[in-house]
Amino acid sequence: MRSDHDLLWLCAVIARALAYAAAIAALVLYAPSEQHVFIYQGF
Amino acid sequence: MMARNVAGAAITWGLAAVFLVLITAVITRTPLLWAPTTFEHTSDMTRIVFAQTYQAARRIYAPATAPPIRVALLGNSRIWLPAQEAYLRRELDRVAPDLDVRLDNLAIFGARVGDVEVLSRHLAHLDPTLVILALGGTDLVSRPAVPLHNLPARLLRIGWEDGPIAPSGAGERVDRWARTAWRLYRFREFARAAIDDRVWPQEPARPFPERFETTQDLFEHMRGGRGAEIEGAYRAWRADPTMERFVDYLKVGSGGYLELIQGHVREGMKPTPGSPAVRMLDALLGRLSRGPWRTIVLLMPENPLLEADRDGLYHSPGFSDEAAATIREAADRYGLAVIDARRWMPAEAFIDFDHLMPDLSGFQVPLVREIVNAVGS
Repeated sequence: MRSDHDLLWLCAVIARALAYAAAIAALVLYAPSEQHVFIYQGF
Repeated sequence: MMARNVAGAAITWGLAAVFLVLITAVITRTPLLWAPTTFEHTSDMTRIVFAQTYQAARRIYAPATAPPIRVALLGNSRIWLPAQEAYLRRELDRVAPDLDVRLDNLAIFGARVGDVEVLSRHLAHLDPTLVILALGGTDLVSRPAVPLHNLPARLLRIGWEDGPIAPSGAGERVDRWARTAWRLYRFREFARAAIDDRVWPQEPARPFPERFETTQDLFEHMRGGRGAEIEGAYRAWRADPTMERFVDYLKVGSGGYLELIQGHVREGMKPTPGSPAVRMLDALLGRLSRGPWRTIVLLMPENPLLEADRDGLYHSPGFSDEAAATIREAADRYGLAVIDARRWMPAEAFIDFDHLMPDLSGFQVPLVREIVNAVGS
């Protein structure tokens, strides 16, 4: 029973860690940042 | 109870950090970020600077083979257009077929001296053998509407120390530090665009042609659908090669360009000792001189027709020599070679007062000669 609990706990830790990492990456990628539009007028 | 322990456990956050490192590597060191995109060859003038900055970053950071000689070209549209790899490669194959050279044209449309200074912070990663910095005098002229650093500098800024221009606030400084330390953060705008492109690809834009047979082909490509009309005006100038006819041709081909350079003449702030432009130039040349590569500062060809512009409508008489002296003085300070190419090309090699014709100008001939001289010596 104890080892089942440990395994479950470890899976929960991994799942939670992966969710945190994915959420941070998504936040970095999709949070509003630089305005990409810059009208080039050289020609 | 278990859920609370899991959420707050140090091991959870430790593992999250490990996963974040892996996610960063999967995104920023693989084709997910650096494979061809449908947007990179865009001719949309609102997107072209972003696309070219992305391409420059790819040239620097995407894994690639590294032959013994690697030549990097820095600058803006003045060098982007006439020094496309295909034109240089053909000339290299003609004059030095045994030379194994990688050519990286890192130029970006509209890049000013501040943008190039920021881009140069990444050069160590590329580890070039030779760096050619293409400069024109007006690259050092600022206007309220055309500052000395624009989108490329914002997208590429890295560095632990402040550059020649102090950041506007602590937030900008922290942002730069985060970009320096963490690749996912550094490339987040490019990664977002690349991921969006993988998920929802657009109709791919045509790459810039590797060969132009005629000026009409060139005008057709650059001014889609108006090639014949512009060719007519261009031929009228060739038949009567005066300044007035050239301006007439430009009015047909690009009235906006004429307004732009007239704005430069009217409102441009010329570089003076200690001015932001000179500080950026100094930082740029200083960094290039400290790299393990050879650097050549190339004063880009200028349209000789401007000598007929005695009223100074389209240029500031005498400024070319002043700017060349400023650049030469800064280069001398760091022991960098300067090649004065301002008189290399005839008027018929130019699309306008600043830009050489891609391929048709023949600029690749003297440029490759200088490259071979530099890497062969």
